Amino acid sequence: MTCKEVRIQLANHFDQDNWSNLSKAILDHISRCKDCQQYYQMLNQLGQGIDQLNTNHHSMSSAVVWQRLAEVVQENRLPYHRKVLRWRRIALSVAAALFITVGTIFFLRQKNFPPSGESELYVQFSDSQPGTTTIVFQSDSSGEPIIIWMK
Amino acid sequence: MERTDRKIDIQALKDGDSKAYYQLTQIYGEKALRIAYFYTGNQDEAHDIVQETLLKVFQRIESFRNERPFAPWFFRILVNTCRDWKRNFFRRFRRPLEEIDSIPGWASPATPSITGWIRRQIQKMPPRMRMVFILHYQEDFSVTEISEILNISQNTVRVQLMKGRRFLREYFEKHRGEINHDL
Repeated sequence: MTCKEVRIQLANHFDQDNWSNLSKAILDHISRCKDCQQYYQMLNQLGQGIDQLNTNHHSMSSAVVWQRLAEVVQENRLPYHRKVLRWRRIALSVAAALFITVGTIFFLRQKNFPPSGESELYVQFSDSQPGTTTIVFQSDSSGEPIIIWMK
Repeated sequence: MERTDRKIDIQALKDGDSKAYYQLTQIYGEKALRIAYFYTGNQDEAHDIVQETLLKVFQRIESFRNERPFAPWFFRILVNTCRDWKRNFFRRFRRPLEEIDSIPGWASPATPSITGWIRRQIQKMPPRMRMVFILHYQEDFSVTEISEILNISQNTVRVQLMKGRRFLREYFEKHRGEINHDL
């Protein structure tokens, strides 16, 4: 095995965190080659450093900090469902207001009310039905008279 | 994770018991703080993240089903809060691990160690790789637990760990002389 092959294999073993199945050929090469031995030691040094990451866990905060944190969190606590209900109520109110506004505008446009342009309001007495009085709204734009009141 | 789960009184949390809140911070606080610190590289931000995480936990605890394991649920909220924190535009430019050497026990200048160097290099990893690496090597979570917390496959976790080790090895190979001189 060449030094290059040995180093590639050692690097693979290191990357996979698996030193258990180092082949005899690699071990023999390491025992003979000083450079590869150094490379192996370097990987071991790095591996040991990684393994030591979970040791020496010094406290980053005091118990007082945690006590205060728990208090702050509790002070700000709002039950989830209540929060959702609050937002739902706001959303529904906005939707209802929008619906009413848009609906009103749409309705008024459809009925053409108030009519645009010249309009006229007059009282009509019917010849065919004596005694009948009708108040008629005549819009120029539509042309169709609208009976507002009849007696 | 199961062992610590038994200590958490979920019903008491749901009932708003203040002792249960404190108990939760006692059991998970330090671990959460370390994860947040090594992810963000800033102690103040780590405190803010843990506080925000605890707030989210308490706000959502009523939707948590008692029969489910608590720890993965808790740490998933923490990890997501860390990610959201990092997405903030202005925080991207903050210098990482500004006070790593000032925290007692992490990397004492009197006894420089390779572990301190590794901790600084972890900050240079891409976010997902960094989180997987911290959870596994720093906090001893298993591959299965990490896949649950991050909601990714176990294979992805293994690949990220392998890439993380390769990341450190390649950097160590290139700068070995300087590193050993510093240590």
